[in-house]
Amino acid sequence: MTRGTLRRRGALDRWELRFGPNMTPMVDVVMVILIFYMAATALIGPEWFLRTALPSVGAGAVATLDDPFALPPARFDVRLSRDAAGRTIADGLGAAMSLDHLEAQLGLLGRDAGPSGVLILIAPDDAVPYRDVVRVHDSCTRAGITRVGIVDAAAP
Amino acid sequence: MRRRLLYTARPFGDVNVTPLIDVVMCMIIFFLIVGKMAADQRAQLRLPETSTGSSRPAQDVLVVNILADTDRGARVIVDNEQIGAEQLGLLVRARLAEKPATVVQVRASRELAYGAVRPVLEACRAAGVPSLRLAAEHAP
Repeated sequence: MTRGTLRRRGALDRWELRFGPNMTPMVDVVMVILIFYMAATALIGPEWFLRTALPSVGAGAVATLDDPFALPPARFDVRLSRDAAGRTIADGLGAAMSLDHLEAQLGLLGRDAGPSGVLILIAPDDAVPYRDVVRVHDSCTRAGITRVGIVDAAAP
Repeated sequence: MRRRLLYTARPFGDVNVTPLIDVVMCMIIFFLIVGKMAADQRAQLRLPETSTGSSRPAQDVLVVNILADTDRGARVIVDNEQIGAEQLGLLVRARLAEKPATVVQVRASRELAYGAVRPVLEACRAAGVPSLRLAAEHAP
């Protein structure tokens, strides 16, 4: 028969009575939470992007210069369209050319003119795949041309 | 003299699975929360590839998702809601009026034709956005 409410304490009860609750599982849980939060955010990660300008119609105002004696950048309107075979061709840097050829021409242009010496305005037709528009923009950026914008092909 | 043990060390017969269950529940909850937070703005689509570009985050970003749609060609989704080009223009104007430093980021599927993306760009241009970001996957 037990005396009053006294009960026989086990080793775990005596441990907790003397030292408090065991914090190890709580620390483990917090560490696991931190690790999985870090892993999840690392998997999601930041997205890459290309910065493109949206000049207004009548893009003579695109080049705004602080120094009135400085020459404006050379402007090239690159028109993208689809040929009969369904390939995307670019027009504006000479004769109509493929995107591979355009990339080479942009490389030469960027090397000769420098990053702020050239302004490229991409005017794609509606039928051109969006990934080709991004590819042309990417080619400009890779050639060191930082001033790139997208305009409406139907605009004057 | 008989020594009485103050602490009778009884071996535990069973493994306490309560901490294991706690850990699994916490993992599940955090995956759900983090996944939901990340998926709110970014719709699932395949972005075009780029070898250049930047990944620098901005403070205030307005993410415009353009997904391919079999019926209408494309649908525009902002903050998990589908909107039209006119509504997008109003939304962009309102957001710029509220936070002038807002950056517009366009996430369009690589399978789309430019004609599906053009209304969004034109709406942003009409709303006075001077430049925007075209989201892409980094492919070195």
